[in-house]
Amino acid sequence: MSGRIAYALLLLLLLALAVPTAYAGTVPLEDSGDKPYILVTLPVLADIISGIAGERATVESLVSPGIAVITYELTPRDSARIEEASIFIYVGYGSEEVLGEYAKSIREYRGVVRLLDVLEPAGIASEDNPYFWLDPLRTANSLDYLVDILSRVDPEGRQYYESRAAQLRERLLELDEWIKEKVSLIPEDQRLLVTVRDTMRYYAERYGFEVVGFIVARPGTYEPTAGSVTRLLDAMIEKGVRVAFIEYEEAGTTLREVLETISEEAGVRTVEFLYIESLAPQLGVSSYEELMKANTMTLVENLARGRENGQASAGESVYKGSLFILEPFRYDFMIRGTLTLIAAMAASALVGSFAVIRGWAIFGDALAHGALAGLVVAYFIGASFYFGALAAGLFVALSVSAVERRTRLRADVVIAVTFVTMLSISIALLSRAGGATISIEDVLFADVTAVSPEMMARTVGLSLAIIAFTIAIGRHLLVYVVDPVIAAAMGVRTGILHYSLLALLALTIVTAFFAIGYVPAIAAMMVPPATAFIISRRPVEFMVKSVGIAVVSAIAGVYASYYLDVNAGASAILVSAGMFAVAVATHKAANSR
Amino acid sequence: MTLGAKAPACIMENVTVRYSQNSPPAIEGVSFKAELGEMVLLAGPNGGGKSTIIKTLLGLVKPEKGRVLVLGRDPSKDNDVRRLIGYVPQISELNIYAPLTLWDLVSLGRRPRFGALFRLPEEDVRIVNESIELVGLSDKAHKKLSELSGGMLARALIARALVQEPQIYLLDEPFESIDAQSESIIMDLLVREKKRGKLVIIAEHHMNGLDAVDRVIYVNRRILAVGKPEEVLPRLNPSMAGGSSG
Repeated sequence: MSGRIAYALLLLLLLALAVPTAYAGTVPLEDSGDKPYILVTLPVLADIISGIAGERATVESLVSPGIAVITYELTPRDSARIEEASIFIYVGYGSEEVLGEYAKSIREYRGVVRLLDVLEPAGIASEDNPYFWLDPLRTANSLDYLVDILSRVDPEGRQYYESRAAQLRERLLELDEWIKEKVSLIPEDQRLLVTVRDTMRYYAERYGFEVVGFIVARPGTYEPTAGSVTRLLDAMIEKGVRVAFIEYEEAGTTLREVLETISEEAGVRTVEFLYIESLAPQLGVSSYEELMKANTMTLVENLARGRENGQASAGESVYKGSLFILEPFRYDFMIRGTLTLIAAMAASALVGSFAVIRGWAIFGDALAHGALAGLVVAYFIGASFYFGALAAGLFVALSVSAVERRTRLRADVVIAVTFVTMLSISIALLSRAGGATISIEDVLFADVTAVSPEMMARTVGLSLAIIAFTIAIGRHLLVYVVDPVIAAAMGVRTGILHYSLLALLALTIVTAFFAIGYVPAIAAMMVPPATAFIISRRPVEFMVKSVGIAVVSAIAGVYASYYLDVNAGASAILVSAGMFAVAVATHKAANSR
Repeated sequence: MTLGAKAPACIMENVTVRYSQNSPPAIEGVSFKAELGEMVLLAGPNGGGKSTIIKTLLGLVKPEKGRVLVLGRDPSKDNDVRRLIGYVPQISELNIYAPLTLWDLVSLGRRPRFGALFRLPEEDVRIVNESIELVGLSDKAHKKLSELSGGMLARALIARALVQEPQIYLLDEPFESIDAQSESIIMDLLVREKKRGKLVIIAEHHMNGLDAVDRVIYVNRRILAVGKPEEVLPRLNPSMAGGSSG
C-alpha cells in the first residue's frame, strides 16, 4: 500500500508540475558537447553502461546514489534531463518501471528503451526475477545488446563500444569467479537467504543459495499479513536460519521492523545491509563491482561462521497442528500485535462515539492529516515523530475551532480546508525528502506484525489512559456533545469540554496511527461508532456497543490476516464496515414494518 | 434557593447586543425587570430579538453595552447561576439524532447528580419519572428522540427543565408548530410553576391562553411596549390578541 500512496503522491506532484515542466525543457543544462547523453534509471545501471560508453558518452542516473527508487520524486529539473537525453534506458520492473512510464510520456516514446523487452526474448532475463541485471553472467550476456543500443545514438562509436564491452565482459567473468570462490567458504546447508523483499533471487539462482523467504515480494505490491509473516517464521525455524539480511533500501521502513520483530522471536540475528537498487558511496559502495563484493562479503562473514554456534538456534521445533482458534497466536509477536490492535481500536471507538454525536466524524481525517504533516516536519528537524505528530494534531484541533469561531463558517468547511492544507504540506515536504533512504510513508503504514514490546506497552498504556479519562469526564462530555447550547445554558463548562474532546481526539488518532497505521486509525474512530449509532437507543449502550464492535473487529481482523492473507488493520476495518452494512440493511427493514 | 430573593429575578439595563461588528444590533437599549412569581410574554415579530434576549439572560450572548443581572449575578460570568435557569430551546435547535431516549434527554436536567456511566441515584430517577408523567409521556419514555413528534419533543424539553428545579424558566418559542394537547399540557405546567413562585419568561410570536400572562413585553429590536396583554396586543399584534378571548 505504501507504494501505491507513493505513486499517488508522485502523480499529484506531476499534475502540480505539469505546467512548469512544459517550459523546463528549454532551460539549458550544462554543456555536454557533442557527446551523446545517456540517461538511465539507476546508479548501478549507469555504472555498467558507462563501462561500455567510456569517454564517448555521458552516462547519468536519474535516481541519485543512496536513494531508493520508491522514495524518488520527479523534479522539474529531472524532467528536463529526461527530455534532453539522447536516449533513456530503464529495466522495467516494479517501481522502477514507473520511471520508464514518466520518460515515455515526457519524451513521447522517442528513444526510450526497456531492457526487459530486449533481453527477455534473448533468454537473458525474465520478468519474474526482478534484479536479474545484478547477476554478473547475465550482465555479461547483455553487453552485445547494450552495445547495439548505444550504437543507435552514436553509430560511429560502435567499434569503440565493442572493444570496451569485451574488456568489461572479462571483468564480469572475473567477478563471477571471485564470488564463487568466496561463496565456497559457506557450508552448503547454511546458504539460506531471508530478506525484507524478494531481492536476492538472482544471487540464489547463480550461486546455489536457497531463498527461505521475505516479508513481501516486489516494492509496492504486497503488504505483510499475519499469515504470511507467521509462515515465514515457521520456515526460518524449520530450516535453521540463523541470519536474516536487511536491504539498504529498507533501512527506515516498517517492513524492516517486521523482519526484526520475527527474527528476534526465532533467535535469528539481523544484519545490515545488502545493496540492491542503490549505491552508497559514503559506505564504500560506489560501483556495481563494489556492490557485488560488499554483498558477497556480508553473506560470507555472517553465514560461513554460523557452524560453531549453530546448535542453539535449531532448538525450537516447529509448532504444527493446533486448534484453529489458537493457531495464529503461537508466536509472541502475534499476541503483541493483537493486543495493540484491540487497545488502539477500543480507545478510538470510545472517543469516536463522542465525536460522532457531536457531528465531528470527519474530524479524525483532518487530525490524521495534520499529524502526518507534523511527522514529516519532525523528520526534517530531527524531532520525535510522536511528539511532532501530536503537536500538529493539537494545532489542527485548535485552529479548526479558532477559525470556526472567528469566521462563523460551518465546521465541515473549516475541517475540509484544514485537511487539504495539511495534506499539501506533507506532499510538499515529502517531495523534498530525497537524499534519504527512509520512506516516511512506510513509517506510517504500521503493521500489527511489527509491534515491538515497547510499542505495545506505549499503545496499550496510552489507550487505557484515554479510555479512563474519557469515562471520568464522560457524563459532562455527553451533555456537551448532545447539545452544546443547552449544555452551556445549563451551566456546563463547555469551553473546557470542547478542548478536552479535541485533545482526546488528537491523542487517540496519533496513538493509533503509530501502532496500527494511518488509514485504520482514521477508520477506527468512525466506523465502529457509526455502526453502533444505528443499533443503539441509549448513550451507555451506544458506547459499549461501539467499543464492542471495535474489539470484535480487531480480533476478526487478525484471524482474517492470518487465514486469508490480508492486512490485519485493513481487514479489522472491513469487518466493522461489514457490520455497518448489516446494521443499515436491518435498520431499514425495521422501519418499514 | 434564596438567591437574590428580594431583588428582581432578572434585570436588563440599556442592553445592546450585536452578533458581529458590521451588522446592525439584534437588540438595542433594552431595559426591563421581572420578578419571581411572574409570567412574562416576550412578543414581537420574527427576528425582532426575542431569542437574543433569552440567550443574553442565559449568558450565552455577551452584550456590547448595558448590564444583565439574573438573581443578582452576571450570567455570562457565573456558570452556577445558569443552573437555576430552566432553558427550553426551540425544538429545531435540538440534536434529535443523538442516541438518546426521551428518558435520557429529561435526565440530562439532573446532570450534576450523574454518577459513573451516567447512573442517577434512585431519588433522581423518581424525579425524572414524575416529570415525564406530568407531561403525559410515560408510555414514550423509552422512545428515541428521532421517533417523537414535535409536540412530544416540546413536552420532553419542558420535563427536562422541570427536573432541573430552577427558579426561572426561559422558553424560546415553546408552542411553535405543536399540537393543541401538548400546548395545553405545557401551559398548565407553566402556570403551576408560576404559582410556586417561579419566574416564567416565554418568547413567542403567537400563542393561545394569555390568561396567565401578567405582562407582555413587545420587542422589535427595541422595546416598543410593556403592559397587560389586553393593553399591548390589540395595538401591536391583533392576531394574538384575538386568540386570547378563550
